[in-house]
Amino acid sequence: MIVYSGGPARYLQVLPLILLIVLLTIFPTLFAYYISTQRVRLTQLDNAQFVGLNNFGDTLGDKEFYEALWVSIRFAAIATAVELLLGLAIALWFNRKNLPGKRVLLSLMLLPIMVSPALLGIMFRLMLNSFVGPIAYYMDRLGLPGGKLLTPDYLWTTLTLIDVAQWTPFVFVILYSALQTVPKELYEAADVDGASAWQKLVSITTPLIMPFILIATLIRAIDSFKVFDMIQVLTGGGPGTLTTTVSIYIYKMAFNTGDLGRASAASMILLLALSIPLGLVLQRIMRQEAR
Amino acid sequence: MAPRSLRLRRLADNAVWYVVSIGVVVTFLVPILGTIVTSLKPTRDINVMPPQWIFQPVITHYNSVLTESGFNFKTFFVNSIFVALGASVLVVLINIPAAYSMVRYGTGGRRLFAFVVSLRLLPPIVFIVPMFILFQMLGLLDSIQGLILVNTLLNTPLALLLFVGFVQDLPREVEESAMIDGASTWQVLRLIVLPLLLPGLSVVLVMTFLWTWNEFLFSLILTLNRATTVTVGASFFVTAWGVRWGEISAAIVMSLLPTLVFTFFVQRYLVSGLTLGAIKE
Repeated sequence: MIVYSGGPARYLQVLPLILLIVLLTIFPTLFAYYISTQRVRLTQLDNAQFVGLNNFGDTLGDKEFYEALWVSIRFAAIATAVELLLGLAIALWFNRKNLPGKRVLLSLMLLPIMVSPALLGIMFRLMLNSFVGPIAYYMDRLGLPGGKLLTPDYLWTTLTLIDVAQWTPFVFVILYSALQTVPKELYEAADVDGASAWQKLVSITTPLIMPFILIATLIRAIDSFKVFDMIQVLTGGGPGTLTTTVSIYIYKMAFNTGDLGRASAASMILLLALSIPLGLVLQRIMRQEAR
Repeated sequence: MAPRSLRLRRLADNAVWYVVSIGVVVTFLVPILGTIVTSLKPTRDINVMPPQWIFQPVITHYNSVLTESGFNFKTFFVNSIFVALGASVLVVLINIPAAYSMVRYGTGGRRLFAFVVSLRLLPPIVFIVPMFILFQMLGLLDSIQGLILVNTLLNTPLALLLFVGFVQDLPREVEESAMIDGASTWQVLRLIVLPLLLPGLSVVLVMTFLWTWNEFLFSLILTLNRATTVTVGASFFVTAWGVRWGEISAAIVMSLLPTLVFTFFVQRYLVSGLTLGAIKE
């Protein structure tokens, strides 16, 4: 058995990666802390002034910041729950049979995941347009709110549904591959004992795919919490602050209001708030690699 | 009689499975299909309700997007290609040696690996202010190079994760005998590991290309007009072109081309990639 040493070369091999991370992640994070203690306007970058923790105070005293946080949490919770249930249902359905053509269907099902959320947002703008949108038209015909989906009353429902339309396939593909790992013999044994389909789902399938359900939930919850692209192209956070998620709040604070200091303070608070769920995922990755 | 009725039931059951499955898939593809259809409709058919499903397909919308002055679509498209290609190449160049060193020599231990991979979960929004100021100071604002750098960073967690997996799957014996013959670690990396990694490398190239192509937030804040990418450009069209839905759809369909072409190529790796390796197939 050769003992690999690699000598100094092994450090040279990770050097570009370390440089990238230090220059584009660690340094910007520290820089953001610094900016959050300054009064900096977008239009006068050179004219920064130390203001201590004022930006944090202003952010924590801003009702709109809490609203944005709340709106993001609610959006993440509802969208994730719907995606999970729908994704599981579709995965169970696809798992029922192995018929020719299934692979093609699976491939097509993955397509929405690979589409840019911004482009998907624009597509829905067209599809839901009350004058030219086919989805709007047919929903109206069925007596559902179709043409009204982009009006304030329905906006949140619509945005949630668009997230569901894009990311249910993501949950589906994870849970589908999870279902493939469940041994068939377990179901056969359950059949012998006369278990119902529901009992099999609750007592066999669900416990076995629970780790997959958890990781899908965690990733979807984090990702939908930080949603930006799709909402930005559809509403820009408006009308007013109705659809201002926390990402859009920070974006607007930085580039519409032009208060870079406060935008940074809000970013730092967000980072702190997210450190717990992020830590959980990190632990999971580390455990996984420890195999 | 029993076997026959059983067979019939089975047939009916299969038919139901097909109908529902196809229905589900088509439902999720409605926005894409609807946009493709709209892009091919003559303008008068777009503006008619109920939606017309029988029409003479035309490519005029594609023509105007590509040729009419005022649409900068071609520039945006070329920008996207350069940014996506640049980021893909850089991601590979940075992450293959790093993954190799981490797997074979244990460089950085588990911590470095987990740290880099977990960056994928950070909300990119927290970086927009420092990145914007940094890019302003370095003169990287509105430049292809700047966007390449940012996208290299954004795609590194996934690339490192995949490459570490690929290197772990390589047999060590060939590398070991090469080392006995006096090859340096760089020679082993270049002459033995790299050729074996080619299939995985192409997957990372394509995935980085697609994610970069789809990236919106940083393209939005770090470009003005020279380096604007297609995804951001397409969102400008909506405000600038108002009701020219044929042209908007055509622009979207063209922006979707890489996705439509490449998705099938990388889908085997999507699951492990999308779940940060928490699930391996």
